[in-house]
Amino acid sequence: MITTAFETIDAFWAMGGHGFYVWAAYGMWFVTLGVLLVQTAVARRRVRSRLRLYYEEQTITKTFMRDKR
Amino acid sequence: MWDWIKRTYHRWGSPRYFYQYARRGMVAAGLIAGVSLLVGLIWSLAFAPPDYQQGNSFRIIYIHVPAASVGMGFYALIAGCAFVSWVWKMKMADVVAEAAAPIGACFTFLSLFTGAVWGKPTWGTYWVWDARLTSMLILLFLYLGLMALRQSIASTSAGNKMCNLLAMVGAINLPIIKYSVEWWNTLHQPATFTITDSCHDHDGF
Repeated sequence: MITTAFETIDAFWAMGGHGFYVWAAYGMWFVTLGVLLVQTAVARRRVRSRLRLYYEEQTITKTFMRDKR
Repeated sequence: MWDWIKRTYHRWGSPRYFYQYARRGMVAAGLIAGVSLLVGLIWSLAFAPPDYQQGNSFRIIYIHVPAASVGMGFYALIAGCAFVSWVWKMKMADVVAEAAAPIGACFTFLSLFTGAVWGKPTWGTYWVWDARLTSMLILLFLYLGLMALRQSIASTSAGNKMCNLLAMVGAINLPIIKYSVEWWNTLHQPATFTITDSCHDHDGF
């Protein structure tokens, strides 16, 4: 039988008096990885839209050159 | 079989196939990572028994050590990619190196931050200039330098070349970090876990 390390939920938040340090560490972990995820998503969208623009321009130029001929 | 391995290996180096493979693997990798994180988080915070000397502050180890490993591992990845790109001029190596830098920087920062808030209740101080902490801070600056260098050079090929050089030269820092706790008398303890031996009994742990 696996038991939790804490009797009550209050004891869980207090972490035996070390709550500030434990929650600061885990909190910063969440914030940093959250920022990393958002940054990745934004960068990906930016690259894709830039590539889409590039290929659209290529297609327009190609059609234009063909029609001129 | 051998031909298949060779073909697959070479395809990983070509952007077209790389993005095909990566897209397929992304969802599965994300799922495995998410589930593992959730299990690890609950286990480390609520179920692992408190340390007999440090009480509950030791729970920081569950994010501190992996963060440091990822921070160093990603630098090794970048240095390896830099070498591949330098010697064989593979485009994918530059892309991987560029994408890995912010991830490595984030985890290196996390290892420093979690180490600091663990140091306060354990050592009585957030920061000391000992060899392990200082060399890890240098690793963070190397990451930031790599990202800044790439941003500051308009030409992609010249930027890649300079970043590769910096990444390879900076790799000398990795063994320094690893052995800093053995070469110098540091406040930071030597490795608690190794791959070959599950747990050493240290005075401080």
